[in-house]
Amino acid sequence: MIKLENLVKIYEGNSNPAVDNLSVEIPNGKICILIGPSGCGKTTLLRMINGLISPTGGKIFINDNDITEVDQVELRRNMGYVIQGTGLFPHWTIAENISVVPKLLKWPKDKIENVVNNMLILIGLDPDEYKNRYPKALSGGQVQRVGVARALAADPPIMLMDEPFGAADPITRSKLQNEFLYIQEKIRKTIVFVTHDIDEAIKMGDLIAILKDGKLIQYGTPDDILSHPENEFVSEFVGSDRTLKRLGLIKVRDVMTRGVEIVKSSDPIDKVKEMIKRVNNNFLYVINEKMEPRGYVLEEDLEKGKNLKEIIRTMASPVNPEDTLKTALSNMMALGVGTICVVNNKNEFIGEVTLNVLTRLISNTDRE
Amino acid sequence: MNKITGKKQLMKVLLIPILIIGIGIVVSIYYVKNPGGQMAANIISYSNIKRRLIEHLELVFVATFLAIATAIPLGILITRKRFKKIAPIIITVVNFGQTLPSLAVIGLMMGLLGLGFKTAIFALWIYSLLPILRNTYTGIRKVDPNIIDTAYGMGMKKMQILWKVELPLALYIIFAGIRTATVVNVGTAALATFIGAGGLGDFIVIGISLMRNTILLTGAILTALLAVFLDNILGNIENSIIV
Ligand SMILES: Nc1ncnc2c1ncn2[C@@H]1O[C@H](COP(=O)(O)OP(=O)(O)OP(=O)(O)O)[C@@H](O)[C@H]1O
Ligand SMILES: [Mg+2]
Repeated sequence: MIKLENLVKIYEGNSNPAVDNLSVEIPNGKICILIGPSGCGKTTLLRMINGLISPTGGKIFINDNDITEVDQVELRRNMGYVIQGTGLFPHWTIAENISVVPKLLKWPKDKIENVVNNMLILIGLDPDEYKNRYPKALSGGQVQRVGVARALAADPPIMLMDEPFGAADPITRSKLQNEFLYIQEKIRKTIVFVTHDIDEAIKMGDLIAILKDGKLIQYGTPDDILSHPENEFVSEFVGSDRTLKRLGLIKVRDVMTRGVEIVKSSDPIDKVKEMIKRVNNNFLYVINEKMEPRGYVLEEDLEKGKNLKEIIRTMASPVNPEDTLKTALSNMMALGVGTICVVNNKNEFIGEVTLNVLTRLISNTDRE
Repeated sequence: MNKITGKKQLMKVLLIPILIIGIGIVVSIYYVKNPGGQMAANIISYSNIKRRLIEHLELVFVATFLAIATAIPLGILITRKRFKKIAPIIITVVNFGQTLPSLAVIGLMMGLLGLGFKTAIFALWIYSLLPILRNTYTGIRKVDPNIIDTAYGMGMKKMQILWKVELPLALYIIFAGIRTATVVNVGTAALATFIGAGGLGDFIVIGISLMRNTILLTGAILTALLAVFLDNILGNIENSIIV
């Protein structure tokens, strides 16, 4: 656990504090996002946690140890630091860059070699091809990945990441985010992650700390912050589309309706008519022999054809239980329909999500 | 494939130095064969050329070596936090040393230390301090502060950062300073003859006093070729430094 207690930093010669009486607790194994406008003290905060600069006031505890009372070099070697900008050593190869901390820790040679290979594989770069290149010969996104790999190499329990994906274009960025979340799922580090980007914060954060002028404005889970912005500043910061953003946090499995009545494409029309009356709905999903959804039939179409195949309509492309409501909504909108079916990983029909459910969720947020 | 390109590279690098040596040999042979009179023939001999050339190289290398050995540590020292304030003063003092005419410095040193090799070395040393000191200072100061931060942030110690990060990254610029100092020293060492320290300057001064152009040109051309030769070799080494 990282605990910041009434932390203050006033740089020499500045009248305003860069960090102003800030207290935050970051539980082990979680990603805590620091977000706020440029100059609000994010980098300053990381540098204090790393011991690069000392606070003007307040205390920093790591697992209940005051960091001023432990050996600074030791402290830093137990913390991976991905610095703002690239920070790779230009005169060292990728392998040498990644092995900096393991070498400082005097690991045996073969163990270091192993770590370099594993790290490169982890970040999706072929070791044989990239090991001996210099940073100059990498793309911006690759450099950032190596930066992350270098910070991870010695397997530190804590990671400080200052806009680690800042230089990447939106597509690469989203890929890096996914890769990193996937890695974190396995390694469960305590991570302090700085970003400018509220979407990145919502996607990556277990907890989000919103800063302004060195002060902590709000600290909570992404859902907390989207559903209960503390004040004007926060709601402006998270954007007027915060309710839509919230849909990006909720999984389909949490709101889907299971046990929906369905018909088989081979069923006779009469049976379908009877069922549609019984369920008191104006449509039914149609599945094939393998339980895969094929489309839906409308009540008003039932007189127009002799069998289901003639009157079946195209449905929105199905979602998985692990998808977010944002995906569900966007699939519905793509076809202009008010419902979407949910399939499992064998593509079998397991339920549905309706627009009604989504509107109810959104209006809940707005009322609060 | 790699071997062949490696060989080609080497040929390219060695071409100009070999050419310069060739010109030097041709010039020497020419003036030994055509000294322009008996008196000059006594002076322009192979053994004499060899002796003066070696003296000249000795002056240049010893002085440059001493300059490296003093200016680099001093340059490093004044980039440290504690000495930040006095750095400009030291640079200015050394700068001033270099603005003095070289002949004046040599004369001044003679007044203090007398004639001979040691005096010449001392004068040359003073003269070549500045380029190395200045380049060491700016080279280290120019290292991206982000990189230094990263090094600290990863738990490197001050000395480790100096040796493994700052100096390697500044090496290119420091080496450029060494190259400048060496080339400057080749020219200045031609004046060492005035205080009896020998070198290729001997030919020049004797040529002037005897009014024999052949002698003067032997010294002048060989000095110039030596400067170009060292500049080229050191330039090639400089370019092979990574970063
Ligand atoms: N070394 C320093 N000396 C004096 N003031 C500084 C120093 N470093 C930062 N500051 C000031 O402290 C404040 C916070 O800076 P900091 O770098 O922590 O901001 P940030 O949130 O990381 O901004 P960004 O998002 O642009 O990286 C700024 O007003 C900045 O000008
Ligand atoms: Mg910053």
